[in-house]
Amino acid sequence: MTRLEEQIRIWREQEHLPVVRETQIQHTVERAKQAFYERERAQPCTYLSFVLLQARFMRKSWWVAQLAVLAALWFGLYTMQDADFLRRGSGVLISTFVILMVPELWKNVRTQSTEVESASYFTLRQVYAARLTVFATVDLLLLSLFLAVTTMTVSLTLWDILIQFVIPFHVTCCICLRVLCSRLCSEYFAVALSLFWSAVWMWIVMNETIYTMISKPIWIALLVISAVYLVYAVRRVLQSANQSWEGNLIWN
Amino acid sequence: MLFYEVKKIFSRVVNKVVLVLLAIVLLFASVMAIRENENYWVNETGESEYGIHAVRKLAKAQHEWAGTLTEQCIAEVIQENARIRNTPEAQSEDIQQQNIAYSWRQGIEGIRDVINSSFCAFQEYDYYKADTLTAADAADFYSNRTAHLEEWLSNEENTDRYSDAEKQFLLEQYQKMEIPLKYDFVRNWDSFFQWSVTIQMFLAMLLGFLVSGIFSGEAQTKADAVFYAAQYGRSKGVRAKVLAGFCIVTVLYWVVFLLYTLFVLGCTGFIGADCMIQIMHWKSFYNITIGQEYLLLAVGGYIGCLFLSALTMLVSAKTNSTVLAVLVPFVAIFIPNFIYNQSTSLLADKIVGLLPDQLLQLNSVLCRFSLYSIGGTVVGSISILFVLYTVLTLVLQPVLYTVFRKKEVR
Amino acid sequence: MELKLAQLTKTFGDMTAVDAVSYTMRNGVYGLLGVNGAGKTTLMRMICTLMKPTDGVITWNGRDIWSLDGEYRRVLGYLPQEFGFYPDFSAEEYLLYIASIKGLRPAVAKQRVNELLHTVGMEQVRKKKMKKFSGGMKRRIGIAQAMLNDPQILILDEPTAGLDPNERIRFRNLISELSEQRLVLLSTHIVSDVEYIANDILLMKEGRIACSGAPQQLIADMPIHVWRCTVTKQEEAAYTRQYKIANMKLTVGGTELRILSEQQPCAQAVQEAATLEDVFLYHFGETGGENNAVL
Repeated sequence: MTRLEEQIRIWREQEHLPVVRETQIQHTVERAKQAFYERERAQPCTYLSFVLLQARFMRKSWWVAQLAVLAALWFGLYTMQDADFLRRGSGVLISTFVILMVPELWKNVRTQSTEVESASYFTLRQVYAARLTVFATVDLLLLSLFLAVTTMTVSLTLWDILIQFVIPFHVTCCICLRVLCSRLCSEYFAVALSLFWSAVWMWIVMNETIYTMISKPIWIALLVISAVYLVYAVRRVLQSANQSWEGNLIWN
Repeated sequence: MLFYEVKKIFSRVVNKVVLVLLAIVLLFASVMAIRENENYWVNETGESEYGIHAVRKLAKAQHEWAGTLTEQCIAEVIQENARIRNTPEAQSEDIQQQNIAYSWRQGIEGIRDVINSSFCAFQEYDYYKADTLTAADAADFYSNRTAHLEEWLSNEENTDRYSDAEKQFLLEQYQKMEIPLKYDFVRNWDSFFQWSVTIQMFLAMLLGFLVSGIFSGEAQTKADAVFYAAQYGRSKGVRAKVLAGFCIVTVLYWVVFLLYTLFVLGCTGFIGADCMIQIMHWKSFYNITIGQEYLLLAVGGYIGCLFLSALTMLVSAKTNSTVLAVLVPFVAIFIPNFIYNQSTSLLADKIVGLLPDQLLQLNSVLCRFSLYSIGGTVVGSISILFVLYTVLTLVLQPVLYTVFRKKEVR
Repeated sequence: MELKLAQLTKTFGDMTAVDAVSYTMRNGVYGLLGVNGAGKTTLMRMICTLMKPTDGVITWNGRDIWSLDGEYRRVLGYLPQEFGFYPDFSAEEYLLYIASIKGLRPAVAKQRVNELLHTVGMEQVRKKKMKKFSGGMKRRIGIAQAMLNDPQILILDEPTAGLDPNERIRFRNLISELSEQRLVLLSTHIVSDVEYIANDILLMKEGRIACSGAPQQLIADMPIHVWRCTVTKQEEAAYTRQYKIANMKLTVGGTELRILSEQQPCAQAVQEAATLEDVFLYHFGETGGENNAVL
């Protein structure tokens, strides 16, 4: 025992201070931990925490890939400043941007995890809703950043943005989401159909004959229809998520 | 085994949808080729007509001028053009009257296009050039071609673009063209070729989709363990898969392409097949007929589709992923399009000029001066493309067989 | 605690997978036995709210499980027959993910994951990716995920598939320990998995509960006896056609048959004690020559 400790011991005895037992301290700590865990166990996770947890478990590499696609598109628009590239590149690359969502959305279907997820506290519908929310939020940020930078550095009109970006974006989203909640529900089919759509879109915008045939009202109608259908497709995904097992006769 | 491999592919609903898409593309392209903007007939009242009957009327009118494009013929066309231009209808401010004048000119419109190409500078096209000519100018009709080429090749911008050997090659090719050229109605072929690019590109993409699951499907359905453990799992079974891919591509490609030919040329006519392609592509250095161009496009497209499908199957076999495999035809067809049209580098152009997507747009390749020097000999890119991708496709078959045969199930 | 099935029915088109099943379960282990196509998995999926019954109702402590919604699934743990997982997640990550969708708060999730990894013996490989696990290891993780939320109802569909004998014994002991405070419904084809630990056995046939009861009760209630005899190769086929054969073993003296029969099949037949497997065979077995019979 050092001199200081000896002095403390003598002073304690003189002042008649209570002796604190280490074991009791540990006991109190354990009891406190237990109480904490019991309280945590009693309350379920909030939906917001659940959404944030879903974001944590999603692979970030897809977002990096999406950012790379937008960067490539910006680079092309900036260096070329060419109407042809605007027409061709945007539709195809925006479709690619959306296709990069497919692996995460299809994750539980591809790995046959939907059965376990359907029997959990947060249902499959809530899982999909959370994933779509996370993707929507992140993609909104990415696209906002992209459009902000692009409009500052490249001469783009609102009309260009609506026709060359928004319409192909909507349609590709509709394709992916609609396939997700269809009976086919095939990742390959969603990607293939999206690529087919990209090819068709490119063909439409690069074919002067066809492109000039499409007047402003038709573009606006396409924009509105695609937006409405996108909302419908999201609703269908959420509605059908919990019914994925109905109609499946299992051999057991 | 081949039958069951093919059955496996078409038993999937998604692949049946792909067939439906193929049919839609075929129908759409056929209709558009027939109703191409250029294929219209202006009647005597100045109204434009479209459709099959319009094309046939146009064909009949232009066929009346069919024959050889001699100096005399060119002179006659120039004079006829001038006569029509001087009519009150042509001079009128009224569009309807102008259209009536145009209707008289439809028969010579094809030859007029060729005259414009001949008399304009090398990289220009002036629709009204023929209106400034006289009958005496007809003598220069053929010599203009070589002269304009020489002038263009000696421009500063082209000094480094083409080597002396390449320049010499081009001039020789130009001189080899047999004159006088035979002329007939060829607009049917023009629209056919234009829309054949769409057909072939979508064909290549959709055929790629169909074959992408031949190999990866085994792993995805977890049937690979049973497959490899079977007697023929590493021999005949694999061969059957490779053969299935080949058969599907071959059958579907030729069915679609021949149907397209039947629909379009069946409606618009096969006449003009024995004319040289210079009637449509004045500057092309390939001395072939339109019929030969058709064969080139058909076979070239087939080789392109075979190669891309083989590549798709290889990716599918290697990665066990149908999704990755499906990206192959899309990337191979559409990405080079961006690079080619935006690139200013000679090297990039040379590289892109030999990519497989070029086989799907030979119509454009025929119009370009895409030249390569091999061992001192200058050749056009088409020869290289055909040889290269035929060899690569043949090489890919045993590679594909070996890759899949040696896979392990983990 | 009480889970009640009342006239539960599920049809797919004109096919009835579960046919007016009524049963009440409290805490303890319930073994669900039946042949393929009996409707076991359909029944379990309805209990886990994966499917809505065509008719009938399931109640938990008197309340319809569909109206309880999340509250019911909070007390539910489910291990399906086809257990899917995310191959690129490590064991720990996967369990944390499942914990998140089970509504566990992060601190509790972490604690439970640590506990369960130790319980199922996967602590050493917690950082290893799921795709590198053997079948048995994946199943252990499956069992762990089912227990993450400390469920009052544990539904296990073929839980011991892919487990070696040691692991199966360990699993049986674990279930026994858990069942004191829980309701465990276990579906299996391996009769020995439930024979020693189940309080009640439900024998399911063609969508209905053919019979139920404690294992010993079922054995005692079986109206036929079990006999052992040795026959010649030539006689084998005849016996196979006539009786239900529980086991066939080739010996030096002939073929030793384990026969289910009310009467002594032959003079040299010796009566043996029946097992639960014999009960299974009695209800579901086939004699040779029947349609779709194996022999």
